[in-house]
Amino acid sequence: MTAATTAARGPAGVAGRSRDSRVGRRRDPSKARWWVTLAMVSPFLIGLAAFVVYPVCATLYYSLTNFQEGSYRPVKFVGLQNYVDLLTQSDTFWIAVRNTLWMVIIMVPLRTLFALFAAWSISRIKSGAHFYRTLFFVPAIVPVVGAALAFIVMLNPEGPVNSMLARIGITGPGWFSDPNWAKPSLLIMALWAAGDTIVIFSAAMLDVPKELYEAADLDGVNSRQRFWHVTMPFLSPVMVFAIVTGMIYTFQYFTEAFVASGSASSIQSSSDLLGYPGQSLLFYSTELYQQGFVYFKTGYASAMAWILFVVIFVSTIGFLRLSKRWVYAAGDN
Amino acid sequence: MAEATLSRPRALVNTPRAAKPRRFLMGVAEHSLPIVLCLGFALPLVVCFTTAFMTQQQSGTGSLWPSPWKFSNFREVFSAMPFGRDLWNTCLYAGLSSFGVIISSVPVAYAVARMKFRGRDAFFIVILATMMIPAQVTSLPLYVLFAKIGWIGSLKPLIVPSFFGDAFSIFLLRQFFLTLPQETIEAARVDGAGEFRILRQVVIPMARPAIAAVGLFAFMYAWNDFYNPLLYTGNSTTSQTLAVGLTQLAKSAHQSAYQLQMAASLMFLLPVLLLFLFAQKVFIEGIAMTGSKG
Amino acid sequence: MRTSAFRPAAVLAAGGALLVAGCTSSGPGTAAPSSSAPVSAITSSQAASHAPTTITVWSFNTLPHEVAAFRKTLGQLHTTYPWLTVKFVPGKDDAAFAKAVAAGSPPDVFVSSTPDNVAKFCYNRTVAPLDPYLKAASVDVPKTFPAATLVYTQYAGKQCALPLLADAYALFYNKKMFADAGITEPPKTMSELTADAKKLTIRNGATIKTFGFVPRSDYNNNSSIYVGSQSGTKYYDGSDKATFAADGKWAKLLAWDKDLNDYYGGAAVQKFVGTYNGHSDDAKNALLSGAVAMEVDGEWHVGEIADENPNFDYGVAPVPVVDDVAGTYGVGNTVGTVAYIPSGSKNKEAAFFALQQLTTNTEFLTTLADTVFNIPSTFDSLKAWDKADDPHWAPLVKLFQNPGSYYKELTPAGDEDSATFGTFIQQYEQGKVSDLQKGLAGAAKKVDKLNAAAKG
Repeated sequence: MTAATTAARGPAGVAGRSRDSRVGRRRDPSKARWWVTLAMVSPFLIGLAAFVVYPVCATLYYSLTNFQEGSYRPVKFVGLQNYVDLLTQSDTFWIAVRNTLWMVIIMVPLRTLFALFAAWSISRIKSGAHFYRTLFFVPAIVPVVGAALAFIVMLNPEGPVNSMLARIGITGPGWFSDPNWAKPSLLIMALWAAGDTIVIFSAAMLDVPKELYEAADLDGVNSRQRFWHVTMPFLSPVMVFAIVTGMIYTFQYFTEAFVASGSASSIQSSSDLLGYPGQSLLFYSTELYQQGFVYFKTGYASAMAWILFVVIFVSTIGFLRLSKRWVYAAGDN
Repeated sequence: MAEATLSRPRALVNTPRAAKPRRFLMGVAEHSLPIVLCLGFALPLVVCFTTAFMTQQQSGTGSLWPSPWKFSNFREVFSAMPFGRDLWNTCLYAGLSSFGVIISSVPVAYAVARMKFRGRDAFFIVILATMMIPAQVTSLPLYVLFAKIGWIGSLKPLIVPSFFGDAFSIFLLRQFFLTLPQETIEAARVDGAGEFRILRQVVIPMARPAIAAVGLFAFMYAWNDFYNPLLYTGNSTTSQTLAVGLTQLAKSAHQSAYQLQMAASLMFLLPVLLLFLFAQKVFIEGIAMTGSKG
Repeated sequence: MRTSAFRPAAVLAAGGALLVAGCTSSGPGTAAPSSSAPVSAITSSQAASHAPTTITVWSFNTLPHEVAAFRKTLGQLHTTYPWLTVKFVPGKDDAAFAKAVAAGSPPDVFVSSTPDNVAKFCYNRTVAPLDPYLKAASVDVPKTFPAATLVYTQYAGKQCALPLLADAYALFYNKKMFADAGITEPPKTMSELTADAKKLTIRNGATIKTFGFVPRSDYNNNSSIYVGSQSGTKYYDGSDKATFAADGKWAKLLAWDKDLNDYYGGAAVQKFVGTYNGHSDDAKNALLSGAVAMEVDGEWHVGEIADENPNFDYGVAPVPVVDDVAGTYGVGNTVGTVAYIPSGSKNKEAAFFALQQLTTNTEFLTTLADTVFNIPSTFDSLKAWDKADDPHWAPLVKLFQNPGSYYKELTPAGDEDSATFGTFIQQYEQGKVSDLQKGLAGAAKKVDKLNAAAKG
């Protein structure tokens, strides 16, 4: 493209612009023509409209009706009735909320701390750290379905883990078959799969500027103080990132729960499969799946979806605001 | 600083000979903790592996070593579930969607990183915000929509949306593009190159590692994806993926045939494992990139 | 600048257009398929030669011998009527069927393991009422199918499904353990059951080696105890309101359940359930392993025991009843598999033809019953069945023919009412309910609300 042709095809709408010093140009070359920009971002824009804006609005609309996908019953507008029913009439709703909150409040911090601990344990190694890092990361790439099945086998009440525990004199619990141990079993699985977070922390730890450590050493601090006062503040943005993404993921916790629940039940009792054992594995999104894609109570499930959306939004923004107070920004000392 | 080198900087102090045995013991002490962690991380995989070779009777028990070793479980999987068909569908889904993610996310990321337009930063925040939207809030109407156009039961609802950009990939690529030298791009602009040409001839060649990382992540995400295939193909007799097929195996008459489930799981996770081992560096640096700059 | 003005507008416009399109859609067409269109059935003369048709039959079965039996039967159908090709797809439960209907691609015939959704599918017009087809084919329903099967296949005066083999739940007990404990007759009431269970329990120090009976509602087939037949209660009264609180016998049933569970201790029961719940149908089943002396099982268990342990010495008796209704002993929970024709099927006549063959042909029914170990579901096939006198099958047939046996009433809420009640029972068993009466009233209210919502 020569300067001449560019000038000839200059865009309309830049009235008032006089020719600048570069001959033949009427516009700032670092600002592309609008249709080029549009073309660049169009994939996401179309995707945004079709797969984000439309569904989110449609879900809101559905939640105000008694729409049941697949039923020939006429659709009625019911206002907030679905929400009222959810919050006051449904046992399973509150069980699902409690279970999900349990996971978010207990699993996310534990997972973050564990990842921190694992990253710290290899940060002291002088050689071979990348080998450990690789091994720690492998569980994170194992497909969740496969991992869940493997854990079901491993934590089988008569399986390897309980046999090993028996050898040292402990009677192992029922793990996935015991309502009190089902969620802790999932917790263990979540810790096992924390590899991606470990890698992020590990990389961030290596990013800590050496000067800070040297300055601390000169000041004569011991290793624990060094960790708390130099490493941790520097890691805080990454920790916030890990906690926020962990929260968002855990609020939508589905696959692990779906595969694990009902694994210890008999095929005959399929009606309460999605929470088995004893509703302990009934999470918000599995309950939503049950209402929306098993019973096909689309309107009702849409109300659940919007409640989830609002909760995730509020808690993420809230946590980010809160974290600004103790996050160390790169400019601070 | 998007480029984190993950190798340990060399120690600057020379150690005298007499300190060698002490250094060795300290090394052992330092390594003991990671080794213990490694054992913990490896245990489920070991159980998975050994159970896949056990007989039906032994598979539900506590033994850790198969005796006898039964190699035919892997063949039996193919008659217990339509493994070949599911595998093909999974490859199709993962391959096509990672391709779609790449070709749609690269331009958007470039625009957000290196092109100037009003509302650019707000647009980027919108992209990030979409990562906060739970899948549940979009699945219900999308299901109705796809049902209306007859796509339920095929792989289309899974593959087509990936050709419209993916927020996480855009984020990753943008972080990377921000590290590219601005001068080269400006020089190309001054020379009269259009943005698409710059993208094609200047940016992409420099961005191969990041693009590879994005492609790998997208492939892995699709390979491991369960929720979406469950919704759209869970019922299908032709288009199921391995993730769904495995769960059906585990909830069917083969509920207690752990050896079959583990054999199938091993075959399911092997491709991503191999992919990861061959492309480790790309994977790990890609992950590290998401953490830097928050 | 053009760019910034364009972008939000474009997004909103696209979103708005799609939203409007989405809002007006509400299911596979708001107009239900007209049910008043003239219906014809394929008469036997027409059946000799007919245009080649392929139909799809879905069924819930997953166990290999059951699937093989269906394939064989449907294959024989093809041999007798070569124009009819049947594609058989096993492993489809009601959820999968609902998904297919929602996606607009249902099968032509669906065989379901449970009649819980008969009313729901009928009310929502998901399945086609079969009355016009039955009339056109001159099938006399009350003379063909036993009354017990009509209870769970009809709703609001319409024949919404046809029964395809029936089930009955009974008490399976280990005869040797009975003899060892000095028990001569199987228990008839819940108190006798508890007493016998305690006698049959064998302890090994602090652990329990053999349980007499484990009544936990989520174990094995125990949910069948709570449908009402064993407590002389009905789910709903005359005005379709749940009776959990109003009818005191429910409370007595639940109290019996909790007492026996507490006798063993929650932890011990949990360990037992955790170990054996996944093995209901295979050789590691609790009854066969000697871990329990009595179990409530469906009649198909007779066939499973014959396969897994033919020399096992066991007896079959009706499940005990709550003391208040001791006189009704001999009744049981009778239910069965049902077959529907979805209203979205494109080959309804051929589908009904196949359905008719499946559900009324005596040879098919008796062969299928023998293979899947169910009870044949027509008068003719029951008479022709060779197992009716077998010592293990006879009590089940008697149970089935008992006029007092029933299943819980159907409702357009599908199985949500029993799921709600089941959740409550589990909460009560876990000790999380302090006031039983109040809890029952709460559960009843929830179920009433569910039914009201389902009726829309």
